[in-house]
Amino acid sequence: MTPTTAARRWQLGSAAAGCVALLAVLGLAGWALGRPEPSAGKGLAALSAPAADPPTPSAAADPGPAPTPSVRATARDASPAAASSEVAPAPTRLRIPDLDVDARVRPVGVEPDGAMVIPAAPTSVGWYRFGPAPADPEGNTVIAGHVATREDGPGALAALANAEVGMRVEVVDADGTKHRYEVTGREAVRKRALPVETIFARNGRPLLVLITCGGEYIPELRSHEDNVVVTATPVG
Amino acid sequence: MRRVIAASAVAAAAAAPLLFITPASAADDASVVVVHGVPDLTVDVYGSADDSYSAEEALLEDFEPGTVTDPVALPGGTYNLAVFAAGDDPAGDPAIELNDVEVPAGANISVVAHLDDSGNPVLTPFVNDMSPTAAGEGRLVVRHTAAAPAVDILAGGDAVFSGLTNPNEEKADLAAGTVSAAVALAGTTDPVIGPADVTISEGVATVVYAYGSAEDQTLDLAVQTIDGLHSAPSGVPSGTADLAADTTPVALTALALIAAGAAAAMGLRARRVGA
Repeated sequence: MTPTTAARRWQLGSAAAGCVALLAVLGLAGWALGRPEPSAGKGLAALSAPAADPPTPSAAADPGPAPTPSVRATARDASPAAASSEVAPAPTRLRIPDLDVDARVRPVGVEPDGAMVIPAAPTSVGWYRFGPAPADPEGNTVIAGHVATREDGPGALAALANAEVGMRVEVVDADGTKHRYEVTGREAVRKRALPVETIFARNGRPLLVLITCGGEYIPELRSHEDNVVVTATPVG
Repeated sequence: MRRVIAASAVAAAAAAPLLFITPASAADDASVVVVHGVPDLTVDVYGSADDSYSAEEALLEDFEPGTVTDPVALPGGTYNLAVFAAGDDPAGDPAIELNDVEVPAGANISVVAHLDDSGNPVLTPFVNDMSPTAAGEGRLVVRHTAAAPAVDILAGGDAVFSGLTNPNEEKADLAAGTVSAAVALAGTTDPVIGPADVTISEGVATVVYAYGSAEDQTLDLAVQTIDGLHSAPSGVPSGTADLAADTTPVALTALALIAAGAAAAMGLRARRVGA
């Protein structure tokens, strides 16, 4: 073997390795570009600020100089049985076809510490039953699910981090009604800074708010640093 | 036709400033509910800023026992209230009268027409506690407005409030749900009213009035609800484990470094062998 052929061989090897390195760097760049942005659309701004409580019915448009109660009240039955009011049907199913999300929805309340209950099974998600339901004329329907649990792995809403503006969301009620929504925003928020008053608003436009976890996982707390919040507005 | 349009445009322009003013003043109004707890008496209720009552000052007419009004907004101030038997001339003597009722701006008040502990009809104003309830809870308020001695309030058979007397109240914030409530004479567990299922809705104050007369066996319960006291949950703890980490960047970075290192090493070797 002449020195020149050996040199040529090493040169070829070097070029091949260089190509591999280049491809790897290109792949890395592709991965970085393909990642979901930290937020999409209007993010949390898509949530309206909680509207002021509707003004109590006031018949007296002009109170005049002296306070005169020129108002007429209407009376209704005050028996204990008459006091219970009708409630909108609970949502039972959540679908986001673009993200392959199809989860059972269960009504949930609050933990003893005041946090929203999240169903333990990562395949089902929780609807905050004290807040509005999709059929209610006002306020946010809040549905949340684990991103993953130690016991069962990835959760039904793990794909929320990839939600993009315009994606269709469907929520089915206990009475079979389908409510259709379109994603208007996604944002990762520090858990401690989660604007709960805005998210759980019971007044204002009827919106759908989907929540899971994201960001750095802190093993000591068995918890993620962020909440991923996706907002969607009703369509058709 | 054109003249009509022009005229209504002027009217709309004239009305517009009023529309903008109304919500601002409404925010300072007091919210007042009237509760009727005098058995066997249908009444008209009047409110006045002075000592005389006129037909225009009727708050409500043909008000029946065991009913409550929807909230009415009143400008803050001091009022005189009077209850007349339905259809009676408000210029005459009222059946019940209460003077100098303070209605502070922004307050939430329940005015109850009821019997005092010796059976005389009276008007009692209660100021409602509008402080927020914790997420998942509602407020139960019990008011003794019956011609009856001190009572205990039983929930599920156990006394939760003891020794409540007319015209006083007890209250507690409870987990949302249904409470089987009954009223017994203080120190006893034999109900004189109920048991009745009372719904405690989340973020709502459920005000239960025991009214009527023990002697006449007309004791009953009336329920008023005040909503909008809710609080949001403190957070959304949605994740107890890390997601399966995306290993793509680590693998590609390692590959790029190794390949680049190999390319450099082989390039050097080629130069040395070639020289």
